[in-house]
Amino acid sequence: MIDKEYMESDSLSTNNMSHRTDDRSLMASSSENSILDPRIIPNSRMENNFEDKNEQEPPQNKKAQNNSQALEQSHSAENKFEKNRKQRDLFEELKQESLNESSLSSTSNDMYSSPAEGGDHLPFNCKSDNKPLKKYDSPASISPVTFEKSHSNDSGKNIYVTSNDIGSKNDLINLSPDEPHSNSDDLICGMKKESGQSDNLLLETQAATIVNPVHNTVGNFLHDSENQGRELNNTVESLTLSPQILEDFENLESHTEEEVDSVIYDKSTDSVCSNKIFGRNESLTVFSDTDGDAVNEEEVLPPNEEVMMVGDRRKSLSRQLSVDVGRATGPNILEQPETEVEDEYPQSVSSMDGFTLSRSSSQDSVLSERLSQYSQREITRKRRHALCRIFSFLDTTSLIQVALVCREWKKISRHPSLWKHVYLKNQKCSLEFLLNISKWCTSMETLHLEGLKTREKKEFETEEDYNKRTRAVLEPGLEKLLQVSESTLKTATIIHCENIITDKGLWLVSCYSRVVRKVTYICNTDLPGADVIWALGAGCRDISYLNITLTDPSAAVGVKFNNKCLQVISQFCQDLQTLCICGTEIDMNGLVLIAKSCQRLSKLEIHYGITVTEDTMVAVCRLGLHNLQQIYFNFTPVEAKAILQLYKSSKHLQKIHISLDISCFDLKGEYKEEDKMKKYADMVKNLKELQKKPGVGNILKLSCGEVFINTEKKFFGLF
Amino acid sequence: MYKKIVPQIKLETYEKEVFEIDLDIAKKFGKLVPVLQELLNDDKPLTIKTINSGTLKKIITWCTYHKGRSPPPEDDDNRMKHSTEEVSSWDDKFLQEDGQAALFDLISAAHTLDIDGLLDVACKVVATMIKGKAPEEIRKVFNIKNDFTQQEEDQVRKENDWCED
Repeated sequence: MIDKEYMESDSLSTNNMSHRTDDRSLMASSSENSILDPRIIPNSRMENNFEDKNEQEPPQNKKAQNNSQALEQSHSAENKFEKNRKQRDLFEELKQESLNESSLSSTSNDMYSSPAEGGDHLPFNCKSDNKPLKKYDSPASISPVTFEKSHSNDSGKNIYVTSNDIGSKNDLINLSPDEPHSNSDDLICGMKKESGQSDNLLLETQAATIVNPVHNTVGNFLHDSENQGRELNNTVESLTLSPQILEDFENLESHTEEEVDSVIYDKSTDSVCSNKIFGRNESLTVFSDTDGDAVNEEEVLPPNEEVMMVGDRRKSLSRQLSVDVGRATGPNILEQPETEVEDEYPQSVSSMDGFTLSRSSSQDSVLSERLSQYSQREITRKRRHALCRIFSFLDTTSLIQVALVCREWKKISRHPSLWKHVYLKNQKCSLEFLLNISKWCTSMETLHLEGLKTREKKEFETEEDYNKRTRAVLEPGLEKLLQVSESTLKTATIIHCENIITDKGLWLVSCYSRVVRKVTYICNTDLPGADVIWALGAGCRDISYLNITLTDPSAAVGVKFNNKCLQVISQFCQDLQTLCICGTEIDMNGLVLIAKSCQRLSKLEIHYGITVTEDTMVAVCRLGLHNLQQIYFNFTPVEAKAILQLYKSSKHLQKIHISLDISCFDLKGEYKEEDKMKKYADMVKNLKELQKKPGVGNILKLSCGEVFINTEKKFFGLF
Repeated sequence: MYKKIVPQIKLETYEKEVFEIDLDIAKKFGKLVPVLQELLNDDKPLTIKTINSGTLKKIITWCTYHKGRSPPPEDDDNRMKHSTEEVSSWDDKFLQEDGQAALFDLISAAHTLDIDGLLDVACKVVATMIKGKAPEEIRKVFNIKNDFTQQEEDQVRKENDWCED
């Protein structure tokens, strides 16, 4: 009889919320007179998780029968309201010293609740059956949870701790006071030895109970309080937790969770777990293995210290391997958000079992059996590490999508460490969206906005009105994003967000991003002027990559980006390594200044500029560009002699890339149509000849558009 | 004539099966590196209860296959760009052949032993499974229950909404 009760308590403590399965397996094992293996439960639970959730087993009669004695007492106790109140007061007193336990017991219990059992966050569901759980679905029906303590007649050795929700009367936990005593003492000693801090003793003792589901926890809690000399009045036989108290517990959770958390995972949870769950009870020395062999408990679940470990370092390593996995190496996602997730979304935990632990389909039952040896928390922690790692390979769009999968995924997918690189491309994007993501983009390093669009033009709007209304519409969002990532943003890229992000966007970067290194701004309509460049240069002193270009040749004439801008750049950004500039407003004067002050420049691109003549190049090369490695003349005409000049003066040059097209030749319209054709053809011809020369020819890459002159029907033969 | 003696270490899995692992493979197990010397001198195997034999076998196979090739240094900046295309077809097949559960075991074990290359590849494979799928599909693939209330789901949907109406 007693053994059976032990078995129950044991199985329950192993996995509190698997009662359906639990009951079933218990029945089987009882009938066969064999002993239940508690470790097998999570496996079957997982299988059941995805079965029909509505299927409920009736409360088990056997259990009730077993525990009838205690139940009688509990009934009598329920009637003693005064005593209840008395005990409640006492409980409140005890609450102060047992915050950790209480909070964690509720947490751990939450963790065990399966997703089917109501999505609500239950304040303190110390219930032991599925049925009462249902009751909690509606807050109005929350009934007081009764904890009952009674001593058996003569011996006084047995403490019955009942988590007895009204309506579930089939569940009792039997804890023998003696063995827990010695065990917990051992435990304390063990942990003390390890931590070397007697101050934290109490905390650790409490932490040790965390791994157990609520029944055990409560049992220990009462027991510990006795040890501490707090007299638990024997005459008080039951204590009632009103919902109010339960709420209090929950509120306190947030304060205590974190420190306790650290204790659990720093210590060997594993050994604690096995001690607590299995070592408590001497009579439970055997249980059936999966193979059916009866194995001594000591052999199967050896205390880590004695059997597994050899040397000190190995001991710690093994412990690390089995418990503290990934803590040091993994991303830091779990340090802070775990408790949050736990508190806020307890239900997600069990539902997520389907992810890493979807063993329902796996034949590997041994593994799931093994997994049950570790606290659920640890599995959760591992799973989140894995998820975090997996998510780190997702692009921004997928990351947004996975938030809709379930609570845990949402929580993890929004961890700032996953939002270091934000790429938003070719999407319709609203201001609200940018403001939303700015909540978790707090450690953003790369911001890439490309081809964003805003709302469609409405029918009644004129083009002008529409442009006016949507102008700079995303800039507040951009500002928020830059603001939250002030000290981390290293790369800011804004490409083709015409009208909705203007040169003010660049100015915002200069206002917030102190450590930005790479700035790209490609826009056909609003190129920045000297004022914005000045702000950028003054605000961001670390810029080594600056790209301010456009892609529309027709917009290249008369832009604000002029020699003055280059002068500002040359003043502020002397560490520049890559510079991409554009427009017809820059000429020799600007380039000379750049060449002079940016001695480290290794890559220079000129887009849609005016013709670079030999004179220009001579002046520029005399002053600088000595470290230049690559130069791009992107639709910028350049004389062959200028290239030759550059090649002679820049020893490190590895690549000269010239692309030309007649449509981009002479953007300022200085030549007549016929002259233009001729000059273009000459230029291309000269460059082609240059390409044949040894040395310079090896690094010169030409891509020239064809020229076909209709009037003369003459093909210039250019490619 | 002389058979070269390859130094080996012993690991015991959950099933109490003892594996002998060549030293140069064991060197890839980041967690073991600090104790390798001790393990070499010690005849008793190191027990790792969190890893089962099948997974360890797979890990050894993977490490043996990748022994010659050192992984390209992972630049944190470029991590996004590397992304999922990098998984070689061998890896992809190798990791997926035993099904999802085994893959997740492998991730867990790679995490435990701190084998960066394997962990990355395995995570990339999973990331590929996730990519481009609607939330409902993802739930199906990974057997996840939607635990959002309608209200919460709407809220997330709203937050995820790119465009305004």
